[in-house]
Amino acid sequence: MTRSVSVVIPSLDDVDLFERHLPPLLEELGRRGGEDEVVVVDDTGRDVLAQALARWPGVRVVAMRANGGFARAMRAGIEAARHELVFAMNPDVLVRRGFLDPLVACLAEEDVWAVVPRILLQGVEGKIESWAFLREKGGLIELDQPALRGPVDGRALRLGPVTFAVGGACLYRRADFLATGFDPLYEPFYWEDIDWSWAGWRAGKRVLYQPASVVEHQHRGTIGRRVPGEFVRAMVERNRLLFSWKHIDSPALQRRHLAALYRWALDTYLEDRRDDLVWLAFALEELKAALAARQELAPARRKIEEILRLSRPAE
Amino acid sequence: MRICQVVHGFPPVERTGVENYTLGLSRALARAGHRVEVFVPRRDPQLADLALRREEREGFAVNWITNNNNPQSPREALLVPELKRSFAAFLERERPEVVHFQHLIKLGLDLVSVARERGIPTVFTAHDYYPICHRFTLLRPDLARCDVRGDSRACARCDLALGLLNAQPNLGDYQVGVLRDQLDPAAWGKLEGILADRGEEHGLTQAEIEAACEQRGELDRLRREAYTNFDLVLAPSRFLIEELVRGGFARERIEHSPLGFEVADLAGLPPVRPDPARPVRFAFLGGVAKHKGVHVLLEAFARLPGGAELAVWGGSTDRVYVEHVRRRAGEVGAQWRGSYERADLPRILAEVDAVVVPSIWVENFPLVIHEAFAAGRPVLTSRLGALAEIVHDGSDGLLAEPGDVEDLARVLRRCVEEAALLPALARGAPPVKSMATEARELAGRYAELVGTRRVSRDVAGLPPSLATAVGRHDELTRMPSRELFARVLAGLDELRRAWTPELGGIEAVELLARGLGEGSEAQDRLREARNEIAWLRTKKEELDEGREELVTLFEDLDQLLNETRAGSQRQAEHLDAAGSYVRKKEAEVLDAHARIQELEQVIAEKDRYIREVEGHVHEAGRYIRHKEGEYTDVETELRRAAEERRALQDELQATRERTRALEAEAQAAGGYARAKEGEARQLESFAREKEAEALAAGGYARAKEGEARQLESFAREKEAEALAAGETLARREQELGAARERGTVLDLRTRTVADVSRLALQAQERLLNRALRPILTHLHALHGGTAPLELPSESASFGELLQATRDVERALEVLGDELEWLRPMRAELELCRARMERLQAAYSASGLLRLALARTALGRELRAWREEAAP
Repeated sequence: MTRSVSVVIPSLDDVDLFERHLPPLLEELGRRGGEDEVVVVDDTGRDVLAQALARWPGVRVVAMRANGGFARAMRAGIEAARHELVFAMNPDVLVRRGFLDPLVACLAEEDVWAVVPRILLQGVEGKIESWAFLREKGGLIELDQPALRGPVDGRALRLGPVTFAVGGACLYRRADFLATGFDPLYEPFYWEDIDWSWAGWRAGKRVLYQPASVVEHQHRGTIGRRVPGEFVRAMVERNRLLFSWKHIDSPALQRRHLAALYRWALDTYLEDRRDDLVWLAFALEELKAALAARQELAPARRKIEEILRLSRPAE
Repeated sequence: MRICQVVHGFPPVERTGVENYTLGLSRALARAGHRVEVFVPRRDPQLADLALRREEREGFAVNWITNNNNPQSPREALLVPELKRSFAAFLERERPEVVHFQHLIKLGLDLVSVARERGIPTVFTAHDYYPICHRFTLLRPDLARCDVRGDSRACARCDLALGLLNAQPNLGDYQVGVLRDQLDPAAWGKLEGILADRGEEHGLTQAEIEAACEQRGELDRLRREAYTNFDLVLAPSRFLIEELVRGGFARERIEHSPLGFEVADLAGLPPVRPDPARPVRFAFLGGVAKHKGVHVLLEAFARLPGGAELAVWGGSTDRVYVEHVRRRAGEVGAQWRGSYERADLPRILAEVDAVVVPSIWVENFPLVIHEAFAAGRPVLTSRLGALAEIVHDGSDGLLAEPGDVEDLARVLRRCVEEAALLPALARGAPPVKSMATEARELAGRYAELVGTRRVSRDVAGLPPSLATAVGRHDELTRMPSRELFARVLAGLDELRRAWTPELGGIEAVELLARGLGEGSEAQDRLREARNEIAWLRTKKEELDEGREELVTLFEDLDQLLNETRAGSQRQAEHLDAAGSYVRKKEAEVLDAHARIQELEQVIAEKDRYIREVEGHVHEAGRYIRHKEGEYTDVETELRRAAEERRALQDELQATRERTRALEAEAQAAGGYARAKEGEARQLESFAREKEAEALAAGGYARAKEGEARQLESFAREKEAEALAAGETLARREQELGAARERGTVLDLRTRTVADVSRLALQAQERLLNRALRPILTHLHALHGGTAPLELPSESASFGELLQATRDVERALEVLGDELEWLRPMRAELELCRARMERLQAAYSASGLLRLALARTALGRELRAWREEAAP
């Protein structure tokens, strides 16, 4: 029997995106024939979506009293969800037919923490956003999305591990999410999904990539419309560093990381690379919060090096 | 507040009014807690062009940008793209909140746009008339004051006049202009003629004049655009404001703001003229340049009967004029004291009763006047420009008509003769605005501008969840790199300390060393830059050598030119003639160039045509190659068709041969038939013998048995032949089947085979007919003609022939009744019939033959015959 899913979509006033992306989603849920539901979280703080989405009676709108950002909106939506399985989705995601069943099947296994579909950047077949990993390079943790760089690796078309499930389109269990939620350290956006998946890996679970499920992502269609590109990039870099300071738990890597940061700072200063300096300063403003988050981490069943190794497909 | 001061020079490299003012202002702003970065160009042959050196001063920093290039044209002097880029990088790094331009010469006009493009408010203080007069002074090259504003044609005449002075020897620094007695009358007349728009009367062509006007118009436009782009323009004097407005500036963007000075050290000097019995001590202090009117002062001093001293302090780059002043000073009894340092000023002014500022140009806000006032010294100056605005005649100083020796002498004389005058004027000296006040006032103006700009950069309209982070990021992006770096280092140190329990004690420097040990991009680039510099230095040395050679060459040329100038009028005429010849030749060369250009165009067109034709040829070649390919294919097909044709011909030939073979077979069948006729004849003779034997009875029957055996053997042979014929026909049918597909020729062959087969059968039938005929005849004879025996016709079929044998049987039965002795004969006949039937059966059994015959009328007949003949 098909397990029912709550689709949770946190949103600002992205009505135009809903116009494009809701109908195929509702059609797919209808095709599944279960009791799936769609919960849209209105994070504008102005309750503007209920009226705009009224013509889709199957869509439930949860309005935030005040704008609180992506993480809080997601939590509110998941709290309101009726089913145990939650498909978290951004308004700029366009689902393809049959996307949900392969994901649901993956979560049948208890040790699977989350599962992410094949997310095609702008719908381009060869650009897979969700075959995504973290790696260490020269003491710095960096995001690696090989299927955005060049020809698609055959492994990107097979079910396998990924370091994280992209928060804009992934399936997980409601209870797992509510137990922790996104860390506010990363507010207003980016890397909170990586951090949440990382919690799964630390706890001995797995995060899977299911290429049989396909969705399209109109990248930065939401945030990019509201803030300058340089700020978005600064957020990515800031949160990458905060993640590192929260999670690097091996002394050897800590030493390499610190050395890399000192070198980075000096290089960027000497070379007038102001953007990099701004990113470092931007992140360091949140250092205390990152260190506090580090203190609150539960004991890990896996250390960083092991997770980095396990969360990649074999060569 | 982060403030950037931009100025064309700075102490200690340059020490005149604007430079000293900027130094004092920077110091005062720094004391008030502002962060000041001064951006200033300088020459430094030890450094590469555009090298930037930052020097920490008293609370502020001077950023020296090296520029060793000499502009090669007026336009290059106005726009310096290299400096523009350096300034942009400087602003990116330092992130000032406001940029205050003190001057733009040596820097380029486009620095203003660099700041504005980054949204940084810009302030400009006008220290002279450069925004409206490219000569700074509103003085023409003949040192007459210019009263024209915004007319590029008039300004172009100054350019042309200056061009004339370029060619005059021994003028010293003539940029500001020349005195009448520095030129010979002819040259002076020419200078005045050009300035009076009568250049054509003095050797200038209309084209030269127009070109100068066009160039000046363009340069004026550039200057006007840059200077009208400032957010705020400050003018120290009201006179200057009026001039700027006359020159096209919007009055509402200009504010009157007298300059401040660092003059605290000048307070408390001894009183003026303490002893009336002693000579009055006049002094000139400042740049010893023509427009400062030192020569006017010396002549006025020369007219004094006595009771006065004059000291001339200062110097300038105009060595000719300085030498003139020094010499003339000696002649008139004045003291030539030369250059002085600012620090010497209190000591100098302590021994001065009045400061004379005899300028012949419209001074703006001369520093020396304020210094004199600060020291409690009255000022004697020209009734001109802002001077008359600052010095109040009879109150804190005295005014004389500018350039008027007699009037200035009158003023000096008054000071000598009226013992109480100077002390009274000294008491009237106004207070001087301090630099601290100036800094405070300017900081207020800066803050207003920055505040306006900040409001326009807020984050209103963003969701609250984004606004905080966006605002914080924006703040960081506005920080100077140095500050960001310090902040980052402090942050990293905090992280290092936080991780100490896990890492153990590890110093930042060790971490940095470890990091750099992994490789540094900055180091890599430094290495690359060092290599490039070494290479460039080599090239520069080569260039320097070349330059030295050129200098020598130019010196030689100068010498030659001077010699030529010193030559006779005839030589000059020759030169003129040579000049016109050269111009003629130049015109010819221009014509030739034009012709060459025409020809080049023609050639270019031809080239284009040739390229087109080549293109066509290329296309045609490709088409031909394509067609050749097709032709080859066709040839191949033709060859294959010819081969097929040959194969068909061969087949035809083979078929013909087979036809001939069949014909031969037919002929053989004919021979066979003839043989059978022979046999028939033998049978006839045999029948006759049998008649005799019938008479003889017994012997005859034995003989017949032998014959019957012969007939049996014969029938077997015929059977074998029939089988062979059947096989032959089967082969023919296969061949026919194959041949039929090939067309008409093979059909013909098929028909031929069928015909031949039919003929062969007919031949067989005829053969059998003929074989039976003698037997029947013989039987008929034996029967006495009573039996119903009829000879079959010549064309009887197998059926008819069979019927005939049955008739014979019946006749023999009749005969048997009558002639029992003839029974053996009947037995033979039965045998004979049996053989016939076997023969017929052999034909029937021949499937191949039957198949061949099935399609023919003969076949149908044969089937009918067989059915008919069947028992």
